[in-house]
Order: sequence, then structure tokens, then C-alpha cells
Amino acid sequence: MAKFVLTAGHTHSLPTVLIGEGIIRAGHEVASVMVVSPWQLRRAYRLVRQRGAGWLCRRVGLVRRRASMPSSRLDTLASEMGVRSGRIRSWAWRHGVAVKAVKSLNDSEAVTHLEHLIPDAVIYGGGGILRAPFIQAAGNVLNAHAGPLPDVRGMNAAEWAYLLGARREITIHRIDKGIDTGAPISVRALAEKPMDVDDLRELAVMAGVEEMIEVIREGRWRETSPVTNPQQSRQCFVMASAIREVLNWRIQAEP
Amino acid sequence: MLFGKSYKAERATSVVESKRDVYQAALRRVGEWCLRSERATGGSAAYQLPILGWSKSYPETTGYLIPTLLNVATFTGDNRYREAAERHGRWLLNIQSPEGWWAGGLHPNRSRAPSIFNTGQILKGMNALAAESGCEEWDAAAHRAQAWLLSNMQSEGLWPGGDYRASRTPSYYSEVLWPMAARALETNDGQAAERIRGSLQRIVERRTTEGAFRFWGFDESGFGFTHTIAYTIRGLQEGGLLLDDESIYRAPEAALEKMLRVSELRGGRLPGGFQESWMPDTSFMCLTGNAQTALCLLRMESTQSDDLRVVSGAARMLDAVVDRLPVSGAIAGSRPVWGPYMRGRYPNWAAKYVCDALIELDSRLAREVNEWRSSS
Repeated sequence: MAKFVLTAGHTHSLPTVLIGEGIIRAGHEVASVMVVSPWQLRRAYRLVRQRGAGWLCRRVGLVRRRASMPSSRLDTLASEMGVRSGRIRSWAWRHGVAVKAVKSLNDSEAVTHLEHLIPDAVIYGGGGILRAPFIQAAGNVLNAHAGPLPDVRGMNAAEWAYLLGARREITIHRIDKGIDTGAPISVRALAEKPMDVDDLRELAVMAGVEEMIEVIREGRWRETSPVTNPQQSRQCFVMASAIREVLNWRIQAEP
Repeated sequence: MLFGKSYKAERATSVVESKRDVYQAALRRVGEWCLRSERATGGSAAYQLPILGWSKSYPETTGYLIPTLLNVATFTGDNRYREAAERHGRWLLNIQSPEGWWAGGLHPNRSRAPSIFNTGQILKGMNALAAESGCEEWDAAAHRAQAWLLSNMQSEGLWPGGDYRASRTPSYYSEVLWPMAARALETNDGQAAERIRGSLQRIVERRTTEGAFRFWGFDESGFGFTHTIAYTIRGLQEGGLLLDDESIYRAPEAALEKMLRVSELRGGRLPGGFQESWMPDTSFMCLTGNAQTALCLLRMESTQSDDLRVVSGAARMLDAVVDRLPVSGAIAGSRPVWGPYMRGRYPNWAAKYVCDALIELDSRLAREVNEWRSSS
């Protein structure tokens, strides 16, 4: 039985809960979930500047997430796995898992917590860019990246992969000190055609959750393949609204 | 199914045009502000102050506003912009010295000292009007300006002494060499073209190991506003492209990549300026510098990489300027408006570069849609 620690960028994260559920069902232990506290003014201010006030309203539940979609793909997967919500605290309470709220995953408090637990692997479910002390303390950090590596590194990877004509797949890989430059472990193709950009993102997140659970169940999380020139590909950043609209148009116009 | 497909495509087209609609509306608003900046003399005011109103006309920026107005006229189909460009041109003809130079500073100005940089910028306007109308008068004015600029050039390729605040020719004088290169090619003057190539190479030699250019600011402190940094870059890009010299037009790539990365990490908001060591001043944004850098990125993308990630970076830089556009269409020098670049003022060149960038970005987005449509 291996010991895992999960991270999350918010107290409500359905992908993190689903992966945690998958780990427990595979007969392993979730020692802790480290959640970056969302209730920090500086963080809220930064997020609003980056993603807009509408995003924050949706996150804290002031606005319905997607009015046009009565049930998302992730919700369907959650109900298949018997998970009722993405609330980390209530899921952790049911399974007797400790929840550790931290200001930042790179804080000494978070690193000390990790050193104390000595996990076999940390599953990254959000919480910002990880610095060397955290990665060193964790030993093995796994991430589900929404695009093909090393071709599409960085943010909005599923969207960029689609737009740039790269392979439409997600990659489970180890996190190292670079941005998505760590050794890949496994890939899963996104076979289904999305309806729009939001749907594409959801498909990628769902594939990432499913593949991560499979990698853990099959014990492949200890294996890695060599990385080929990860720094050669241009890093992707948040897609501009105009380019996102181009992508949406392409997805919808594609036969 | 044919109906279904075309309906879908039509609906999708309207989706992609929504952000372009925002850009086009912004262009119209900023363009109207440019028209309002015209003074009774025919020149464009350097800037607008919130209470005191318009400043005197500024020959330098009136000159390089001309190609922008001609482009806006073509883009919008509104002839008022073309007429304004011609009036600006006539005013500039009236105040050109017999030797071919234009004076520095606002007009009228007590010390009518000739200015290399201003003459270069006005040359852009004369070149544009000559190409647009084919009239002899614009051509003759451009010819005199070019002759004066060439006659004052040192054997090492740049100009003796400095201009404005620096004691030596700043690197952003690449923006003078660009219209000179265009003129040399237009008149098939191979000798002038070679001298201009040499001058651009002198500026390329100032590149540091980190990709910055020494003397890229108004003074020699090492600090440059993104406005003058983008001048340096654009002049090298355009001058190098005109002369078909890769060692020149690719020289600012490292600097652009650096600025793109910094901007992306800050949600499209470039710091107001950088030291030559790339130490940023994040206390403000230089709005014209943001728009100018977006233009440089779009130019790099169109000539070298064809990569939508670069277009996205440019769009985010421009979004950071136009997403909070006032109803008047005025673009401040700095954000916050009390920032050190053109403190409390709304310069006409900020509006000019925003118009240029909006047209360039819209054209790039239209190309993306059209190419994909024809390929599918």
C-alpha cells in the first residue's frame, strides 16, 4: 500500500476529490490533502485581475457555473464513482483524511508538513507553481497535464494543442523545477469531439482524472520515460479572448 | 445536412467576430479622438490635458500620425481620416525648412532648432502621402528631408552629438533609419541604402548578452520606457526587412521574447520600462509602449514564426490598454495616469499606436479565419 498526498488550489475541487476516491479504491492511502487557502485578499485580487470578477463569482458560487449545461461530464463521472460533491473537507471527513490549509504550497509550513508525512508520491491537483523545496520534500510529484508534452507546455494546454494542430491528448508526468518539463509517464488521447472550448477543457480534465486513477491503480506511477528537449518548445500562457474565440469558432465549425 | 452545416458555420462566424467587434469599436473611438486632436493650423495636438484641454500642435507626431490616418481611412472606409491626413501633410509642408529639416518640440517654438528624430518621423508621413497620392509635392518634401538626414550622418553611421536628452545617438533612432530605408529603396538610391544598413548595424552592435540594447532610453541612465524600447525594436525590424538583412531584423527577437514572457506573466500588462539589465519598473504601465510592443510582436510573428501564441500575447497586451478605454477614446501616457510617462496627459502618439495595433491585430485575426475557412 502506497501513501499519497493530494494538493488543491481551492477547498472545492471535484478532480482532486475524484482522484482521492480513486486512490482509496485502489487500496492505497491518502495521508493528507494540502489546500491552498482561497481566503486571502492578495490571492483573490490576483485571481480577479488574471481571470476576471466573473470567474471568482462562479468559484464562490454566486453565479451558476454553466447555465447551458445542466450536468457536466465531471458530474457524470462523479455520480458513477459515488462522489456527491467536490467539497474536499466533507470527502476527507468521510474517509478520515487530514486536510491541511496552507497559504502557499511553497511555504516552509507546507514543506515541513510534507517532510513529516514522507509520502510515496504527491498528486498535484492545483495550488500554483511548485518551487524546488516542495519538489525535493515530496520526492515524486505527479501531474495531469492537459496537452501533449513536450510540445505544448504551460497554461490552457488542451486549447493550445487543439489550435496549434498538436496531438489531442493529456499527459501524466512528473513535476520537476521547469514548467511541464518533467518526465512523462502515460498519455491518453482525447478521442471525443468537443462542443466548444469549455467542453474541450472539461474533456481534458476528465481524461486527466481517469488516466491518473489508472496510472495509480496499475502501479505505473513509479515508471517514467525519458524527456526529449523539453525547453525547445515555446511555453503557452493564458489564451487571449480573441484567440479563444477563434478556437471556439474552429471547434464549432469543424465537421 | 448542408443547411445544418452552414447555419453552424454562420453562428460560429458571429462568435469569432464578437471580440473583433470590440476592437473595431475601440478603433473608431480612438480614431475619432485623433480627428478631434487636429488644431486650426492643420497640425495634431501633442496631447490633451483633463482640464486645460489641447496642447499646441506637434510636428513630429503629426507626421507619423499620417500613415495611421490613411490606414484607418482604408480600414473603416471613412474619408474624413484621409482628408485629415492631407491637412496634416500640408501644414508640415508649410513649416519645413528650405534645407529639409523640421524643428524639434511643439509648434510654434521659439528655438527653431533642427531635429534629426522629428524629421525622421515626419518623413514617414511624407512617404505615406507620396505613395497614396503620387503628388510631386510630398515626394519633393521627402527628398529634401532625406538629403538633410543623410548629409548630417557621421562616417560611423549615426548622427553627431545627441538629440533631445542624450549626448549620443540613442538606439531608438532606428525609427529614423526605417523611413530613410524606405525612401532609399523608393528612389533606388543604393548608396544611401548601404549607409543606412551600416547605421542599423551600429545599433545592433549595442545589443547586450541578455538581448537588451544599450542607450535605448531618452537619457543614458540605462532605463528606457517601453515606448522607446519598442521604437528601437520596430526600427530594426522594419529597417532590416526593407533592406532584407536578417542580422538586423532578427536582432531584437531575444528582447521581444523577454518582453512577451514578462507581459504574459502579468496578464498582458508590461512594466512601464526596463533597465538594460531587464530590471523592470512595475509601478506603472506605459500604455503606448504596450501597444507598440504588441505591434512588434505581430510583426515578428508575421515574418518569422506564424505562431498564434505570439498573437495571443500581443492581443493580451492590447487588451490591457483598450479594455478600460474611456468614452472619449483618449489614451493616457501612463496607467495610473499619474505615472512617470507623460504624467497626467493623453498623448496623440498613444492613440496612434493603439490604432495601428488594432488594425494589425484585426487583420491577423481575419487572416486566421479566412485561411482556415479556405483550407477546410
